Amino acid sequence: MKNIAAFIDINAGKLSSRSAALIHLIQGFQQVNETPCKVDLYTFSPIDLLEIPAISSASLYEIVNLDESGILSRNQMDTIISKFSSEAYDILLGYKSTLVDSIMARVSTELKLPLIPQIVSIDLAPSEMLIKQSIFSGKALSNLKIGYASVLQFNPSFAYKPIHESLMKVESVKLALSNSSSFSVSAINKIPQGANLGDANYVVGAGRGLKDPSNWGMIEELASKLGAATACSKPVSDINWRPHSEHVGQTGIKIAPKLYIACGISGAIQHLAGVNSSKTIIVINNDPEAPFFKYADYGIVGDVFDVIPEIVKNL
Amino acid sequence: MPMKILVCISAVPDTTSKISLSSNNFVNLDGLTLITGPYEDYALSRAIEIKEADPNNIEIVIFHVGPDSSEAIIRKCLALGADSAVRVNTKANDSLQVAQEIASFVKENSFDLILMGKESIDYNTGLVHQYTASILGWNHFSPVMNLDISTNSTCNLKVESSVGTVQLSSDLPLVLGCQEPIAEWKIPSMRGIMAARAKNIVLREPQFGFGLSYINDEVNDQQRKGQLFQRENLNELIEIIKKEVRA
Repeated sequence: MKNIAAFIDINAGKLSSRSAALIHLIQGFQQVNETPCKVDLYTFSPIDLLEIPAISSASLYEIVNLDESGILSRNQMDTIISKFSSEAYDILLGYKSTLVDSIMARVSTELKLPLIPQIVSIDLAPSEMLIKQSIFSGKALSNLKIGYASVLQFNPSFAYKPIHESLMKVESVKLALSNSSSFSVSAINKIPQGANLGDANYVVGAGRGLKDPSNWGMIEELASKLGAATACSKPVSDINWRPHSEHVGQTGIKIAPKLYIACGISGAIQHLAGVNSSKTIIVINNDPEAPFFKYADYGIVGDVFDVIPEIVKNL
Repeated sequence: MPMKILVCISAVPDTTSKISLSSNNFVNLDGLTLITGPYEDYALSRAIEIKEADPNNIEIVIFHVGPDSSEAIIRKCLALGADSAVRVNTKANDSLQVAQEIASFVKENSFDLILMGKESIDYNTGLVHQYTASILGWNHFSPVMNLDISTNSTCNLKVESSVGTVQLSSDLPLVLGCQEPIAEWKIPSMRGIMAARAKNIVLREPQFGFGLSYINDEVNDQQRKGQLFQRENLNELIEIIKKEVRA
């Protein structure tokens, strides 16, 4: 019997696809370990009743009282750590995110469980897991073996084939954090809901080929039609055409959407380092020599001011 | 008492490096040009700006875990204006090992502020600052986009979180993972380079090992479809977009 905890996230009352992948993996644990595992799911999203892929049993904890800033203070973290210690978890699963990373690092040091970051795939054997990690911004992969006692952090592209397709419903119990904080917030500049780049399923990015910040209307329109987040290249955020929070690349945000559409971005290696985990890449550029075409699944040589409005019109 | 800032740096292959494997089937770093991790460059640049504003009251120490091939990178950090450096003489194998070395050094030598990049660009884990804060029991923020020391005991920070960017203040001591636009990257001056020759790089023996069993690495040659459309066939591309979004 293994005690498993997993961080999951919920969008509009539904389990996100990256979190569903973690529950599919728990199905795998239960199959390999034969004895049913005790499973506790944790979320920061408000939820009363959640539908999840079926596992032998599960409890769902909704963590409440997180500061409006989205940052956990040390004493709030203490509440989570003491809960985790008392439950004596063998395995903690979580997707890569600033908030969950900070919890996983503390669980790893305090519960003395090794933390394996950046997991892209797992094969389960009876006494150990074979793990593939992404390294060098996705340019290489690392393989390692580890027993069933660890903290596992998954890249957004992680998927695990479900053992069975049936679903079950779980009711949530609230886990309240203390109100005391170790820092004081003076201002919060919120990003629009659903536009969180690192987690986005679809992303539309644009670069200097757009010529002027006033031309971003069509990018936003395309993104809104697709339900996509907007991104930009480093030069564009450096000259303040777009906010730094949109900068995707080696020194910006790394994305792993199902679809990335790059408009007027040449494809410098620093930009590619931020987008190469995307499942499908479409490149729109008027320069047939743009290096990005070599790294694209689909490309179109054309003027962004002609092609994008045409796509928007026909979607 | 001057304020003491520890800046922890990684030595990583240049972004444009082509990754290949050596005969033992692990990533081969021999012959690749090593640079200071770009995020650490941001962290150090900010530390130097803070020191330049109050040179007599700020001391900057560089901390690095790595073999002697990293000395040139450390020397460059000293040329930029750091006061001294410490190198733990071993290969940096994983985030926890590096964090344990940092924490043990900090327990022996008091510091007010520990800065590093939000992640190293080789293994990209972004965990060293998290672990360091966890081991030391200090407050921790990452990624930090603005850092001002407001009094001797408080910092004003701009931090990116899951909800957006947050302006906050927190008491020292702090561990921070930094990212742009916290500072502009700096270029060492000739005077700085000369001065760095006389600065001390203290060698320290490693105290922590590494426990994971790695089997091998592989180069990730992503094969993309590479299908190119001409403008007159835009409709086909639009159908592909529709299909991708439905899937």
